[in-house]
Amino acid sequence: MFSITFRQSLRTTGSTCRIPRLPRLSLPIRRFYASGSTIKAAVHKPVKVIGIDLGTTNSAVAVVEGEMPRILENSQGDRTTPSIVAFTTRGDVLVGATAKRQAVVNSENTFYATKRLIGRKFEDDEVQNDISHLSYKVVKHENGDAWLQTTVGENLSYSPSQIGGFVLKEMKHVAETNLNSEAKNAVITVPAYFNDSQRQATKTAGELVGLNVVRIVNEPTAASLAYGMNQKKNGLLAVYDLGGGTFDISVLDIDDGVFEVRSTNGDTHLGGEDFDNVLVKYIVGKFKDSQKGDEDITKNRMAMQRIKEAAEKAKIALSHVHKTRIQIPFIVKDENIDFELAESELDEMTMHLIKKTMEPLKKAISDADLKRSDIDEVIMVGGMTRMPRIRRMVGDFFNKKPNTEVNPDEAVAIGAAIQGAVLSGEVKDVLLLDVTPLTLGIETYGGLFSPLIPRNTTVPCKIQTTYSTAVDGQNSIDVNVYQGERPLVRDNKLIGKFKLTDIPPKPKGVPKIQVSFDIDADGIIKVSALDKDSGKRASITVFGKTGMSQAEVEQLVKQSKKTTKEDQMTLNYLKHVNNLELIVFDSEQAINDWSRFILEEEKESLGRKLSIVKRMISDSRSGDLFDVKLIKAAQVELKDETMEIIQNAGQRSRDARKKVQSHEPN
Amino acid sequence: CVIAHAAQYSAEDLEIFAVQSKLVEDSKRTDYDFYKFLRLPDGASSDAKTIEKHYRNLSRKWHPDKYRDAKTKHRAEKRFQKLSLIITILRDHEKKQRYDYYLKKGFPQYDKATGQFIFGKRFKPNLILTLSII
Repeated sequence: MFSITFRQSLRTTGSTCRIPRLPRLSLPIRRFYASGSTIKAAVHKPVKVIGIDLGTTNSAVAVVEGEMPRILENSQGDRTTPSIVAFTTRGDVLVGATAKRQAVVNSENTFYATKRLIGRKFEDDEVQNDISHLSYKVVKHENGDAWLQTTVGENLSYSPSQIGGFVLKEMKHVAETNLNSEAKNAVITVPAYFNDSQRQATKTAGELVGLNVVRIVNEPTAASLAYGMNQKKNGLLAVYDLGGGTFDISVLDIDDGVFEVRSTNGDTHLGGEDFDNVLVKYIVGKFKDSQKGDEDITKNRMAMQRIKEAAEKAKIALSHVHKTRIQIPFIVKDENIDFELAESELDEMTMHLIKKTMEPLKKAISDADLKRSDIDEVIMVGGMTRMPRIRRMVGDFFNKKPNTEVNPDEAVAIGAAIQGAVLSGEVKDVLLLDVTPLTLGIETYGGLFSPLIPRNTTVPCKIQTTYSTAVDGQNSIDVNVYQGERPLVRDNKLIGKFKLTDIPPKPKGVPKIQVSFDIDADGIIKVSALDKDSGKRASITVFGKTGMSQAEVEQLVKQSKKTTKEDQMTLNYLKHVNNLELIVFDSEQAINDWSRFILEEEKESLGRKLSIVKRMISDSRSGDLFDVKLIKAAQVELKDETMEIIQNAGQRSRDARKKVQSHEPN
Repeated sequence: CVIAHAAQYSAEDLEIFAVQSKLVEDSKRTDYDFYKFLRLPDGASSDAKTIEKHYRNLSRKWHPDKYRDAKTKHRAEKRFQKLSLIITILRDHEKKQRYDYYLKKGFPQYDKATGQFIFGKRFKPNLILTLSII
């Protein structure tokens, strides 16, 4: 006993002696470390991170170059790409404008606005409500999620994540063509009010197509970065973001490069699509009033698709003019739709939708502990905010004219790119402090919701609670995790069911299981458990969670990798074919140039070879031939023979010149 | 099924206790509190503006996005997670009042035998608190 105390005291004195020396020792180390890291940063260029705004109707991609963010244009020269994916009977997958163009003739296999379904259950009210408006079929997947069914193949079905993946792949491709290098790392944006399942499903979409999703950023927060980078102004900012399918309102406090979200609110099922649907209903009603025939137009998919397109066009037009004409000739047989629509009529029929954004607005202001008049600046993002009535309403609410300096279609992608550059270390002095939009909690007795992490808590955050057993010998505990603001769990969204198992049998209340709830910077929740007595990780089983299982994701990633590998192989092969074609051109050119000095039999033999090679080239391009070795051999053979012929021809030309010279002395 | 910690405390109280006990446990200093963590020399009497200023400065320092190396990033994240919960409590007037009250009168001890927070002496914090708040 004594010796232990003695040794302990000795150790204590020993360490007190060393303490003053420690800081001195660590200083040079720290300096070395710091200088080491600057050297490293100077030598290795930071990894590029692209920013993708995966929108309900349109998507955009941006990148920061030399501290300046810029939007990357797609191959058609457009700055945004429609978030539309179509499958053709021939087995092609079309993305973007090409998919949109064929929507009328292939409406059942053209998937649009799938962001409204991502991370949702088939039985969700929002999904059930959407089904009547959609031209494609929504089905219930094994795990209860809403999936999409095609009529191609054997009625292949896709998850909304996969459809999002196709769009992300297209955006990745746009970036790679612009940057001339691989774009592997991406920041992807989501509506601020997205819950855990919707965020997870969006991240999965990126992973499915081989993107390294370095961060999920909230759309209004990203937009504030786009605004703040230029303005360099401090103060309180409100971002009103009404897009194609979702509505967000965020209140931020900007202070010398720190963008701190104070509160966020919204509706993940309110946007331009709803405005279109109202207008479609109005057009159908108007047509039915004057219809001569008796066909039910709502059953005619092609006609409905045409009405939808006309409705969208009219809605956009009315943001710039007061009156527009809706004209759809021969909608059915010999009947037409043709009438005038005024801006005031559109305002009136969509007023209930515009008003729906006011409640979240009020909540966000009060959650931030502010008054409306405290807000220094209001910015508007998302295509729907071009509607003059909405601008007026928001202006009236804050008693302030909204700032129109940010581009409503591009700000989110720009902001995502800025956050990407912050994460890669390219942009310094900017810091985003974002929040979790919904309260996280667990179910307690009687279906009550017991909050653990309140909404608007800055992420990343983590909270731990201890659980015990209620009965002697109980060996498992069920924990149901929910997100939402209602006092009863049944009104909130079930995030996952966790089962703590393998608890050693002990009297009730004795086992102590410490459960940690983590919300990471992406707003995604992780749960882990620790048995406090044994210090061992407790087993957790997760079930009933929306989205794909890890195994499913891996399987799909493997598949997409295989296809990209195949794509790569085809690409390589076609490069060889192109080289061969160049050699053919060169050979033909040479025969032409040296024609006088090439023997007829040489011409004939080379000509024969050229025609065979040309057929090989066209077969390779049509996909009938795939043989790298053969193409390579043909390259060598053709090159050699042409070289030989040209050398011979050169010899003959020199001989001929000599002859001429010897015949004409001086 | 789940055992609720102790019925007499509100969810807000339990949230405060959980953050405080974790802070003390990790720092190994029994006198550690939110204000010391935020490096506020005036403790509970610091005004809201100063609290915000300190929070923001510490965010700049501790936010995991500021670090690239995995190890330092992880350390920063752990610190930032605490910072986030603490500021959420201190920004909420009612929660801050509760926290200051317990800080002055003493926090209940976590009872390992029952898994509940208990006070050594007979004490009904909720009644007094509710009255004081009303």
